[in-house]
Amino acid sequence: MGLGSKLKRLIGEDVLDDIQQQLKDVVEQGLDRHLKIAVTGLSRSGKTVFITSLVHHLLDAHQSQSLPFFEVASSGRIISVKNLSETSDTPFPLKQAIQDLGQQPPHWPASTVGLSEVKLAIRYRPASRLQRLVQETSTLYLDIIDYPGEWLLDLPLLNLDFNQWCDKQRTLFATEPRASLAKDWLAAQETIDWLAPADESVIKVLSDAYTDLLHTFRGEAYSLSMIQPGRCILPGQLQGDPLLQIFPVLFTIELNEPAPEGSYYQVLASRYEAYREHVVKRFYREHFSRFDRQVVLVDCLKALNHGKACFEDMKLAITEILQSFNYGSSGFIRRLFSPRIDKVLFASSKADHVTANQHHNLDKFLELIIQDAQRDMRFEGIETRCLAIASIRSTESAEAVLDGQTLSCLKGTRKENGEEVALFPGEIPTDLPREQDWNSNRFRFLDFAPRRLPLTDLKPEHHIRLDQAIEFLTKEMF
Amino acid sequence: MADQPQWKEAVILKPADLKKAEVEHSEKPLAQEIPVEQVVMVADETTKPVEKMEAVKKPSRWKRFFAGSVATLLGAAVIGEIYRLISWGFEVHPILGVTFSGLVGITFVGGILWLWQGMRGLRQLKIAEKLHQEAINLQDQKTHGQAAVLLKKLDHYYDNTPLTETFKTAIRQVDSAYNDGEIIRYVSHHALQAQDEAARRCLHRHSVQSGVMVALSPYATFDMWLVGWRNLKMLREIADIYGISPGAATQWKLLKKVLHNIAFAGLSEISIHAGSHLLSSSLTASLSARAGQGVGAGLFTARSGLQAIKLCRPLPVDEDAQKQLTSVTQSILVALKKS
Repeated sequence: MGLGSKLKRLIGEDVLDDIQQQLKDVVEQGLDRHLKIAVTGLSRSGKTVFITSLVHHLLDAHQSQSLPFFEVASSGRIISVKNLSETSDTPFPLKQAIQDLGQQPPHWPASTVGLSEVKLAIRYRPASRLQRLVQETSTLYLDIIDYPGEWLLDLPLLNLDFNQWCDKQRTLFATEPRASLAKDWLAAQETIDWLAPADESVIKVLSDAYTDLLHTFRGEAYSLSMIQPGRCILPGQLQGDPLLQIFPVLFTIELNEPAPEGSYYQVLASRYEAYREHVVKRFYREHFSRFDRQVVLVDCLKALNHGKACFEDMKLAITEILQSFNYGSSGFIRRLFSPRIDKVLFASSKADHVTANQHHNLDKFLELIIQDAQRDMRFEGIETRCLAIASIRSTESAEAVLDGQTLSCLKGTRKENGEEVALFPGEIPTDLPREQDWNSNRFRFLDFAPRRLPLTDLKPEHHIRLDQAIEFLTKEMF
Repeated sequence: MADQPQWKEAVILKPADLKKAEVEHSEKPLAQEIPVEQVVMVADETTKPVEKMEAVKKPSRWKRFFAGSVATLLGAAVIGEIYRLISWGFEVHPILGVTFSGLVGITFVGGILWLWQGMRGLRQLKIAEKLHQEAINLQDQKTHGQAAVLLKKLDHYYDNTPLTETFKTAIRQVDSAYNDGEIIRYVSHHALQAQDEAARRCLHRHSVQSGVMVALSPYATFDMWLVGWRNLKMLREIADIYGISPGAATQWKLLKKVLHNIAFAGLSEISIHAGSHLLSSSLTASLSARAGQGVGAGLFTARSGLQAIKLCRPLPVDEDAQKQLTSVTQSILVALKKS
């Protein structure tokens, strides 16, 4: 028996894995300056586009002046940026994404279905003379991970057992529009004796119905965010695995003693445990436990377009997800041994879909969504900031005279049919809109197709505040 | 009726009147409900900003008489003297007379031009200060549209100076999505980049020079003159870099303001300076006392240079003062070790 497996038996696999990973990290980070950025966001919040655009601008930072607020780039101290993604097992499909955005007509990159990684090495001249005496150039390694937003929704499961999860889902299913959409499914649940021996086929029927329900919730009509478990929607490599045949038991049962072996309840509970252990925990441990900085991308316009239910659901989802991250001050030693997130940027993406004078309101509205999460972070002493950004600007600002009043509006191409449109999208409320304001004509946000992103010669007008975002995240590293 | 008193006179009232007033007072309305529509909301009293108390200058009448008469007397004496000089020249020989009158004319015209230039510099300094304040107010604003007004003023301010071209290019590059604060930060950072670099180098050079000179000069009395001389030269150069018309009046005003600002530096600045001084003192402990004095003089020059940049720049400075001062200290020490 090898030493490795002996050790594994002695201290347990998890701990050993952790130690191994940490040692590897320490060696890597001790030698060079290393920064891991978590790009967090629900599905369709623009993670892939954010990463694509950021990397594209950074790779061109030594020659173009497209990031005026990114100090190290605008002062010409970046020598070169190298893409090391190929060294990763699952490289980020950067070429494909840039090609999608660069062709004529350009279109948005396809949404992510698996996990991928970007690794960048930024070589730059240090600003201070003292540092330059020691070292003429320095290198900063930047790691960014892209993954489907659906998987992120599993992270809150880490702290819940099956019973608690069912309780949470019960309150969720008691609210509209879930309650009426799931009426049949809920009725079907009531007919089952959960403590009776399980019938596989019944479980399969119910879990298929549950998956369909999740798809409906998530669809264009409702756009709900709190979809658990996330792999039911986007299984990745787990396609067809019986592990995914799970659903919450919403029918209250009195459990005075553990449910009998082989009963419906017990089978579902054990599947849930296995899912949590093998899927969620692994995903978290391998990719999500070690971050230094975090970007939380939020699509506020979706919430405004879909109304109160969508807003509340989004707020709940984001607050729950953010509880799974390690926050706290992260000094040099800390960063070596167990990194913690010490800076969080809340970015409302798609700022180009509203007029420039509404960006401030967008910030305010974003604060409404993230206020609970932000309060917890502030308590931990974490620097947070809200920023309205657009990774790729798809509209131009224009002006129109309507009823003798000059309105600033947007000109862009519709995503659905490629038609050119001009739009006055309305004003973003800075407070939670009242019941009658949702779904009225007070605001209307269309989806625009991207404008072409050139391969070289990038300009500040290709994005909105992407430079401020990266400056905030990496400022003191340079 | 100018001397009517500001207060109301004391009046003796009849008891009967008093009673009546009391009755009127006690007639209070009964408690009742008022329809919501009839109610007018009472606006909150906006707190008025407390007006700044400023000492009122009261020029003494005698001082004015004295200054006026002295100026007239001196002026008359000078004019008389010049007149006598010219007429004496003509008496001796017409060519001498013409030469004298030509010299007087040149002196007169030159003086007036010099004065005008100085006045222009003063005016520029004043405008720069005003713009600086406006820019600082806008710096953290997230509004839209106010920065455009300021940009127009800045553009006007830089008209007919060598800086106008770079400034106009920077303004053209301002993005339509920027809010006021971002516009200010962008223009401040990008429009004056070359000037900032030149000013920074000028400051560094003069500070190091004065530091080294003081450290090496054999006579203590000399030090003051050295520092003053380098400082004045640096102020003139910095003003020139930022497109402010040079002149004695400008330089004098700038010096006055710089010294004033240093003397009344805010607490934060004092702590910065103390920090850099601490750093330098720990470094110079191993060196001689004269080297320490040199570092001190260099830091003083650097500080006044930073203040001058702040005064000459119509947009707020975002550079780290601490860094600059530390780098000056380092350079002085390096230069001293070499010599």
